Amino acid sequence: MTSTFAGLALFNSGPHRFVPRAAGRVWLPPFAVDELQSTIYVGPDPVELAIEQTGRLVASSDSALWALYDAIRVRAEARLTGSLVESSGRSWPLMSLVRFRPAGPLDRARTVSLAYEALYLQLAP
Amino acid sequence: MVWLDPDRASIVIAGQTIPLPGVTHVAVDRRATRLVVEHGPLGPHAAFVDAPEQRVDLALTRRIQPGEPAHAALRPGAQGVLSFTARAATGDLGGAQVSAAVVLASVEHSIDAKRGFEQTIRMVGVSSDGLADPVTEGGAP
Repeated sequence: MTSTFAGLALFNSGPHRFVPRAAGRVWLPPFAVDELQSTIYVGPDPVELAIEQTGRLVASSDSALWALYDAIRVRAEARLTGSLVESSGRSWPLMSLVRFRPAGPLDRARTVSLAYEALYLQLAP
Repeated sequence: MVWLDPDRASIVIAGQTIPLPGVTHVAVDRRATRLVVEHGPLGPHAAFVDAPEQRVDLALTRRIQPGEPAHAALRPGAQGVLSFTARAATGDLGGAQVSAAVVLASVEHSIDAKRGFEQTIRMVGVSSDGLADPVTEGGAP
C-alpha cells in the first residue's frame, strides 16, 4: 500500500489505486462545433497526462482522520508538483495534485475511514 | 448469541411494563448492513474491510399459558426496552442482567401439539447515539 507523491507518503493509511485517464489527442466529430464543420477535427497537441487515484484514508479516531485529510487538502490547494510513485514502483514525473475530494461520508466502525478520489495532471510547462 | 430459559423477562413500552413469562430463549443476531471492502493495487484480496453500518436483530420466543392476557402494546413499530436475567451458568452465583433498546418488528404465534402455544417477538436494536450497543449485559442483579 506504499506510494509516494513528491516524496510524501500522504495516502498510505489505507489501500489506494491509480488509473491513467485517456491519452491521445482531443478530437471532435463532424458538426460538433457548427454545421459547416464537415470533417473530424483533431487537436494539434496531445492531451495532458492525467492520473486518477481512488482509495480510503483509515485512522483510529476522527481527529487522526482529519489530520490526514488536512495534510492532503493543503497539498492540493498548493498544487504540489513532484513524482508520483505507485506501490508497484511505477513512477510518473512532474505530476501536480489538483483535486482531492471525499467520495462519501466518514465511516465510523472498527476504524474511522473516508473514501476519496484524487486527480493528478502532468501540466505543460 | 442465544440465552436459554432466561428469568424475569419483560418489556417496557410507553411506560407500561409488560411481563413476558415462559421465555424459552432470546437470540441476538448481528450483521453488517453495509460492508466496506477495499482492494489494493498488488493483488486480488481485500486489503481493508470494515462494517460501518450494522444491525442487531433480537428474537424472543416464549410459551403462552391459557388465560394469559393479550397486550395491545405489543405491535410492530412499538419502541421499548427489553430486559431479562440470563440464567446462571453452572458454578455462577447469578445470571447477568441483559437489557436492550428495541423497536418491535413482528409478534407472531404458532401452535404445536408438543410445545403448545408459542409467541415469537422479533425486534431490531436501537442505539441511543448510533455508537452505543443496543444490547447491554450487566452483572448479577
